[in-house]
Amino acid sequence: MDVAGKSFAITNTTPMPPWKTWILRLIFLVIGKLGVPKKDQQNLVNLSFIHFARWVIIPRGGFPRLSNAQPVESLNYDYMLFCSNFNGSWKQYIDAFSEVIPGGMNNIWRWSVGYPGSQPLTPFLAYIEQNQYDNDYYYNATPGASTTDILRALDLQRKLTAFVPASRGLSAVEFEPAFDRFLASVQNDLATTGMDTVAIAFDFSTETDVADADHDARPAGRATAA
Amino acid sequence: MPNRFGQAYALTILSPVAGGHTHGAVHALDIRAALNRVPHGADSPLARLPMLHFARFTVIDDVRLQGIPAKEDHLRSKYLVFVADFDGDLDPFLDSLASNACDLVSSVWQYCEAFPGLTDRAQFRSYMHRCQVTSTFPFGAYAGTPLRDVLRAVDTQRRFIRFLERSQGARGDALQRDFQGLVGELANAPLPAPGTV
Repeated sequence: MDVAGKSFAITNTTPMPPWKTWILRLIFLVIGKLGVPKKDQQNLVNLSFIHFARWVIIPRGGFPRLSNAQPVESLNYDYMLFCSNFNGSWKQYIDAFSEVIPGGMNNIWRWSVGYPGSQPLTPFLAYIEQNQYDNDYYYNATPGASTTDILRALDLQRKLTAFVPASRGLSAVEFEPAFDRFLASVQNDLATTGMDTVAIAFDFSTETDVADADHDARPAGRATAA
Repeated sequence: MPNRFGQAYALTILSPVAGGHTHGAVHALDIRAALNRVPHGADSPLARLPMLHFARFTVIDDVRLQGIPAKEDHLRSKYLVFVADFDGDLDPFLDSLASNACDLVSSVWQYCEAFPGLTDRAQFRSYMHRCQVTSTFPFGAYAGTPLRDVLRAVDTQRRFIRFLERSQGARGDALQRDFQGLVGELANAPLPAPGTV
């Protein structure tokens, strides 16, 4: 169960030699303090397809042990758990990461055993798929809205909240041009949200065909959410 | 504080699945069967948690083999991974989870090692704390915005678009009157329930 409305859940673990996890922790610390490098940050913003994501480093001795009856883990590697909630299909997501922020991906995953690099794409896709888990249950509080839909809706809400008091007291003659200016300022915020049939009909084996067929079947002129 | 990003909290729980089996089926399968019975979308028990953006349950049977020359690793327990992105602090969320999704929590975690049940909330919180793994690097595109405001904004967006469709071509007095109608509609609009937008 990896799909909930427009959102897709990826869950993935990759092994890392314990001494390398300290390098990755340092990288995350630097990114956390200084922010994502500007170019990658801008690319991520432009992509705008991740709702929430996380990287979790689990030390080889860090798996919870809650009773004496539970066997002690004896692992060779630390593990990095990666969870993401994103829009689009799995292949689109991995493909975009590989194309748009290959350096960023390499900085995070190059410490993992067997990581082939984010480019070329085919071994990168195989590596992610090999280390991925199917989710057993997935919940999304806003299934009809993509990340972009939500960011645009929040922008509209902010601007509308400011426009309402500013337009109060205007005469009808003054209101009309003020409203036109307001409308022009929010024209990118007017995506139509709702359940997207591409996500509902998603299927690994026929991913492209389903998406294309659905796209072709859409009524002309329908405003589609990003 | 690595679990936090903005006002949002990135909770990662790894609960070891109890050893043994029920009628020949290992408990990991019992967990999957229990999760398979849980409704989705607005009918999900998780939709009763007003601060929860996303959540998932994943049973990890073992780590993935990487092949030669990597060393071979195997887990000695299976783990139930519960991942949630929510607004605010951990303990209020755990209390809300125990109160609003008690059937889900009991039906799934009953198969996990040392799960104390939900009768004693302090014990439940303590159990979840013991199962928590620190999220090293959380990210959220709108982690500064509570779910309540997200739901409100998406609803406003839909109502505003419907207003534009209704008022196409309206000018002057008519336009202003229609807009004031929208403002009144928005002021009285109920907050959409989680899972419905």
